Amino acid sequence: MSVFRLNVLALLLAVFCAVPFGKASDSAALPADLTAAILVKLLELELNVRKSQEIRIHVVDNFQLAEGLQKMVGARSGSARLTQVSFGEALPENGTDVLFFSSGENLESLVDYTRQKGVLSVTNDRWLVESGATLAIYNDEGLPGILLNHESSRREGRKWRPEILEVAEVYGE
Amino acid sequence: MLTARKTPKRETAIAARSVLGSTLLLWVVWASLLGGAIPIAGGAGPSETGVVESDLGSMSLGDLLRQRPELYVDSNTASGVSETIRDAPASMLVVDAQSIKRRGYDSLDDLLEGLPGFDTITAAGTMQTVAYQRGYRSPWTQRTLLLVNGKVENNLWNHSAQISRQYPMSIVERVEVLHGPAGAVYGPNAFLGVVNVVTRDSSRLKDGAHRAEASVIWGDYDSRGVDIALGGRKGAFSYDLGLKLYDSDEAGIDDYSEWGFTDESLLSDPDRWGPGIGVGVDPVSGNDSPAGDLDVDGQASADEIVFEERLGQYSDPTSNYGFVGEARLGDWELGIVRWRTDEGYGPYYSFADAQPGVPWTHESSQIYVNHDTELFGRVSLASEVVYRTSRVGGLWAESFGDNVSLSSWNSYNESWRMEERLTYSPSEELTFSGGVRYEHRDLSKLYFINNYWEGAGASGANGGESSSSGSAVLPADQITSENPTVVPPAIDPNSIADSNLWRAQDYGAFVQGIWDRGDWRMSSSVRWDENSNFDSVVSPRLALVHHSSSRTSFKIAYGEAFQEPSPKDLFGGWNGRASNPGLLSERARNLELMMTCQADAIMHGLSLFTASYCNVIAGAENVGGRDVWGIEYKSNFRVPNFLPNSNEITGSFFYTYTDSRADMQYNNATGVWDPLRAATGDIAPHKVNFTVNLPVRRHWNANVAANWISDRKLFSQNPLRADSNPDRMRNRDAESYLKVNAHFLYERDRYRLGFKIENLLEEEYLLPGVEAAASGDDFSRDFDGFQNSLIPQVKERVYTLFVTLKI
Repeated sequence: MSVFRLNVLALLLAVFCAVPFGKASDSAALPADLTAAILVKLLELELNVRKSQEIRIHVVDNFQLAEGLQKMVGARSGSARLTQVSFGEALPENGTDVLFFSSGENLESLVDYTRQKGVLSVTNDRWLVESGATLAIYNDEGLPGILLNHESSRREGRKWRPEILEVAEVYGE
Repeated sequence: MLTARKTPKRETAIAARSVLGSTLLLWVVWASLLGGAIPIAGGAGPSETGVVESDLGSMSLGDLLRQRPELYVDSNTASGVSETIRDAPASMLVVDAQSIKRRGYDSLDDLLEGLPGFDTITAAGTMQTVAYQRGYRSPWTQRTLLLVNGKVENNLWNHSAQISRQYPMSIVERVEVLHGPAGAVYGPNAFLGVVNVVTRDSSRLKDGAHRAEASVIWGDYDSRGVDIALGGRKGAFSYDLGLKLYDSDEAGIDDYSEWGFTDESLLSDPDRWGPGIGVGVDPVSGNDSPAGDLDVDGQASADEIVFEERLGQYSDPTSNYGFVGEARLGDWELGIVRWRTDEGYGPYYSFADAQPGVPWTHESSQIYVNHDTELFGRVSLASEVVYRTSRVGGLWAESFGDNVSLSSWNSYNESWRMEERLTYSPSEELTFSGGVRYEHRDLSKLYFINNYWEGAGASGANGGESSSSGSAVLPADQITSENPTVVPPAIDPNSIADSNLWRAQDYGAFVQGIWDRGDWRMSSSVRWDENSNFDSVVSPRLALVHHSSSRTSFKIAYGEAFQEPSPKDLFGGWNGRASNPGLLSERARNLELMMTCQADAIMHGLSLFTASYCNVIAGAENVGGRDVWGIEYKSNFRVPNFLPNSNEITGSFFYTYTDSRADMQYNNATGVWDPLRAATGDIAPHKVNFTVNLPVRRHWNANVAANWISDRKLFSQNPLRADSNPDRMRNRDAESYLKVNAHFLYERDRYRLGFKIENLLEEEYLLPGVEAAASGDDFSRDFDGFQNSLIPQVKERVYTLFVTLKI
């Protein structure tokens, strides 16, 4: 590769870099099985979910997590039991208890959905919590971290046991 | 036709005794740990109910939040089936994309430097980097398998991994490093361990999503490059592409630590190089001839530039490129890995013997098709077909015994490989797998050489078609404008002359069983391999994993592997390097204890291993055995950040202790390997790798990495080692050094800006020479030893800037 060609490529990339784009997220995600196990345990701390008999979780865009959750079908969370895990971009018409998404794409409509239907919104990207998701289970510098958006939680009608404050960082208080 | 070769009984017995003794010791230590005789800091024992809660489903939330994500990364590297690092039957380390980004690793050689268990030498010559894993010295990086997405990248002919700047890093999702022999999984040549570069998989993206990342690299010594990764998914189709282009002038020789044989004036010395390459006077015309005036016509013209610069002066240009691509459609996957490195020889060789400014090339291509399918129920079948070529060669400007030559070299090789792997999981607890492999290899025996000594390489003299008749090797004092240095004719790079062809066919089969029961996991596998030219070899592995609590795991593993003699060692000799068609395969046996303990702020990992090797190949001979034992301590820590609104400070501390002993030592006076048990050499007993990462608010990050390597004895072929050189009174070691690198990162939205400083403290140091390392340190005399006995390293700070855009 000649110096000339490399310089031209470098120049093109520099010009490319000058074009403004929106926000991107680049935090390392937790492994799916670990996220799934934490999510099921966390649901024990949410009173509405805890009271119900069956828990349904819909995963919008993270197939690995859906697989991880699928392995946990039957697991108990308080008095409730995880009975159904679904996957797909289309939001479930028959409702769900938890909606999980990884990407900020269509965030507004996802958040509208969870707030209208009283569904708990969960993500693995902590920055999406700042944009309206309620709960993030994320890789916090080499350990699992939990971030809870107080306002979003309220608007989704969540009622948490006090123990949540022992494990989660609260955003927006 | 070669005859079958058997492993000598004596060597087998020695190895067996050694392993038995060590086994006993390790079992005692392990049993003590399991029995609680040794307290584990921060480790949680059984829960109050007496039930050991060690799998994710049964852990409490508190325990789950103490689990290190890196232990739950899914990996195929250790067993060929998906399992977490926590369950893998080996000592493993994962360097993920975030660590690569934060540490400013823009190439694999950067990454290797910070790993525990490796003695890494920046050779900057015939090989850019030479790494000895687990205390085993070899000429190059030939006993560690380098994989990209599970496909072997080591050269087919000399088995070396060229670890330079060619691989795109922006497409790398993680690098998995496995320590210890893995012959039961990989068959031949997974001798000391495996480095598996795993690239991104966009089939996991949302349908219709695409991503791109492009980096521009600018650095000292006119270093510049681009590193691009693209990926996307549309329905059942997905793709990932990575491209790296890298050019550099590399450091000037004044930027390296001083070493007498890298004095630039040697390169133009007319006594060594004559007029033409050196500075001199044309005896025919009486005109002055400058350095690099190959035709001795009084001026060094543009057509006499060999590789960007004239000969007779120091230059070390580098030009690398690499491409990694995968396209997937449903169960099918098509992959391509192609790269090429053209690099000068830097300070690798004595300037009295070799000119550094001519290009040496490594080139590799592979194309593969994978197909994974579920046959029925719990049975799945994975198939792969791989075609690959690898090539090494280039130009070589030599002064040997005051004879000068400019020669061209080439070794081209290709192979076809097919593998079928069946996995059957009758229950959640039990997994069986088995498979067969066939590989057909067309390999060069000798280098194809033009313009070199008579009888060297596949020349016209021994049935080839090249022109090494010796007539182009000229005494330095006879080079004139009428008898100039001869520029070699071009070589067809991608062919093997029939007379130089060596065909090998490999067959392999393996079975493996993995049994999970409660907190225990047992993994056993055995593999049979047969090469059409060698004995068949059986490589077993047995491992037991015990998760004694949610925080603490123990592993014990015994594994074997074998290393085929490379075609280079069997046939590739010439007057400068021996070969021996009677070489036996090397054998490795390794027993290892491992422990992982996740305390609140620190995760500790400890490996204690003992390994025995026999039929060690050095200097084209089997030179007895080696025994290595060592400790690898790996810890990751995480502490609160003293800066407001900033994530925790994280880091790692690795300590490696290695004791490596060899049964035979090279006698530099007689040129014979003598039975003498002593340190192998070139292996530092103590190595420390320390990294601290400091996030500064949301967008900034500072990362500092320090590598301290202790004094080390040199390899016995190195004439600086007095106990293997009767002609030498004073021993000389490679002295300890501390190298500190820093990387500052600013990341906002879709941009990333990185600034890397290597060798922050401007450490001046020399590393052990590679191969025979025979040039010595008497700079007043030229022993024609070629490879420098100690290799100077860049003593200046080196600055690199990265600008990255993500879409």
